[in-house]
Amino acid sequence: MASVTPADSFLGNLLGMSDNLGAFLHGMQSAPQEEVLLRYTKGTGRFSPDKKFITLSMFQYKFSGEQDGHHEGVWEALFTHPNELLSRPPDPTGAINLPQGPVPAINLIAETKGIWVFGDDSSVTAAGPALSHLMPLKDGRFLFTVTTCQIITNGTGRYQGARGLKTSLGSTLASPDLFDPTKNVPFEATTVDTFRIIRSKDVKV
Amino acid sequence: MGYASNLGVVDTLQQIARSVGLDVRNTLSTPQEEVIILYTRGTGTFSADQRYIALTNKIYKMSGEEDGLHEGVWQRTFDDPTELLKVPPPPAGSMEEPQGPVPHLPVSAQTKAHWTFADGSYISVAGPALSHLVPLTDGSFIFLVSTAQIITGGGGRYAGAYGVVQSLGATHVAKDVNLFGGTPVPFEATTFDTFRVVRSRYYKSLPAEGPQSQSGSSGSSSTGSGESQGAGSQSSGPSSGQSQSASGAGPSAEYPFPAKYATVHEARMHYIERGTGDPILFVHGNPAWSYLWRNIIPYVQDKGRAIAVDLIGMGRSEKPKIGYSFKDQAKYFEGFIRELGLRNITLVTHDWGTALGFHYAMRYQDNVKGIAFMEALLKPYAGWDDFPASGNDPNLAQLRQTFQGFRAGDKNGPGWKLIVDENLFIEKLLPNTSLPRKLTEAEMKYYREPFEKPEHRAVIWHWVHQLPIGGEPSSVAELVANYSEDLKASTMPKLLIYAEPGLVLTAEQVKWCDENLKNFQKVSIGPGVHFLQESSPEAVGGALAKWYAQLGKTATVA
Repeated sequence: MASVTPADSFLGNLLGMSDNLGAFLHGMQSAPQEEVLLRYTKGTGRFSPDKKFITLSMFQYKFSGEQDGHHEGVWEALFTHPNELLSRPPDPTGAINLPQGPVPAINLIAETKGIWVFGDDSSVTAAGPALSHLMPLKDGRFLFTVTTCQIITNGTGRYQGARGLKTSLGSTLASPDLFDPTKNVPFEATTVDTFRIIRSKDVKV
Repeated sequence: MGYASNLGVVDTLQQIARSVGLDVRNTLSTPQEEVIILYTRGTGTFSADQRYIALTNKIYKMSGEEDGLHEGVWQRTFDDPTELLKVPPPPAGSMEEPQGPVPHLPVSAQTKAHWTFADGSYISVAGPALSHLVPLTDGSFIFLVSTAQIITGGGGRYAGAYGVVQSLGATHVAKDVNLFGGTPVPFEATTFDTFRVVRSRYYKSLPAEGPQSQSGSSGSSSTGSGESQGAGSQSSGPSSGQSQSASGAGPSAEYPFPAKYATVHEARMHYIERGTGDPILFVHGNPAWSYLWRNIIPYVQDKGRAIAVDLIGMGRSEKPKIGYSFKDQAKYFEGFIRELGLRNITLVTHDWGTALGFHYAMRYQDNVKGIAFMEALLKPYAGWDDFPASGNDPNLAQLRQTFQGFRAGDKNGPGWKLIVDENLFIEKLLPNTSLPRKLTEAEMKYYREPFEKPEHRAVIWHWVHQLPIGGEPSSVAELVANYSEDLKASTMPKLLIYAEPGLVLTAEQVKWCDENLKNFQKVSIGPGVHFLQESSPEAVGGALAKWYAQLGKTATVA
């Protein structure tokens, strides 16, 4: 597992205090009943032998650097060959400021599920589709990235009965043999996670 | 007392936190990637059939500082909105082993989006989304959208960039409002967006990028880092790697601008834009469209809000059944300015765009910061003898006769046949007047696009018949004479960019400007005919950027 990253500066501590005071993410709320969270995670990823699945085992942090629980999740590949991850679609055509098409239909690359357990042991579980993109770097390595759109399926603790959506934006600096089925070593990974949560007390059943 | 003190501490902490922004270093896998976290706020609009939403939001850094414009379109893939109320069951199986099952959830929408940052840099994306409707105990709802998107293109510091993005949006739907029923009404929306970007200087292009690879995209290595400078000083260089000036590889045929539309007099006018700040409005002439400005805009997109409009009936704007007189064009052009609420405009004009620009600027001097013009219609032609002959250029030796031919007869007459049936304006005049550079086939394809159908070329014919020669048509002759006189009296900053020999603006007109205009600068860009934006984009862009940078300092100097 990756080592815990401490709050490494005075400014970091101030940010953490501000975050704890709930002052930081109010600009992103659509209503007071909505809770907007921003976290990042760092840890380790492991492939299944057939390279079809990845599991993540991560520590979770506030942006102050303070640890705030952990995150585990599974990614399932929907593509047939990793070369598909190197391509990207063309720029969308048509108006960008009018409610009309065309809007390109982008194929899914993966499906995901995950759990985010916070420092007080409250948790959020979510699932949803993902895109993945493999970017060759000039130093010969690759950046493997994942972007997910997920729906909260259940929660515990303060998030018992909560509803909402979340995202996870992950990356891993990888060697060219990341998808080589003859090699299977754990890799370091990091994610940035955003949540929009409505707690059960505000949800009309 | 204690409460007030605590509030003071909170305010102080907020101020400090906002001033320093978010530290994203811990979220990086490598220094070669860039993580961006921002939020947006603005307005969403449904289509009449409620299958699409367009979002127009301001971008904010986490510090609260405004940082550009975010626009996007959401297209639903579900039929029944009540599906959005459902929650899938918790996923089964272990979270700690690389194995299934992993639930396969249907996406509820597809999206495309664009973020244009304050410096004119931009990122385009597309990707699927989940949507969710959460009923609240007070009877209202929160409508949520979560996207997973891949970067399809970029400009400025993101020219040639690759990466992935997510956007987590929310809208509060008041009690008794049916978001998916009845008459669509605009609604407030906010998004929370994160990006992982690899800029072009770190990205290694591979020989083959698979079947979905973008041909001719800005992602190729030829676009460079997007940080190199064009000809001239640093302050007058392009801010984007997309033009020829950044790479030295020749003018770019690419038109990497998302389409935008404004509804003016019930017709849609197409435009493109980059950057934020005071508007810099580019106005083309006949037979061009906003494509003409593709290699000029990068020079000023970090200095203001560069907007290039397609005149009505031209480019990608609608082609309503109107007379296409000069006054019709002016009505739509000025309606466009009103529709976008443009204030303190700098006009950058060419050909008939100069007439529209002068006509507007002289009547709305309080709303115009300055006007740059090329190949301009400065005054009416007294007669055909006054019309440029360009006799020195073998390619243009017959120009006067050619235009006399274009003006011959009425609809379906000889001139109509040349312009509408034979498309000579596009196929002959445009290439010959872009010299000394030869337009590529890719560029010609863009210029042909609006006029593929003969009936769409009528607007070109109408423009030709609006030329004020020998007092006809009288309405245009009078109007041009009026702004010509007003220009002499005006102290509005003016920039003439001209070439030699030029086509409609030759040495004689340059002399007229010298003798008659106040607060006037001129820049010669060397050899060129009419479409100077095609023959010398780096010189035009550089001259414009340099003049624009001085505008605020010299605006009142006569």
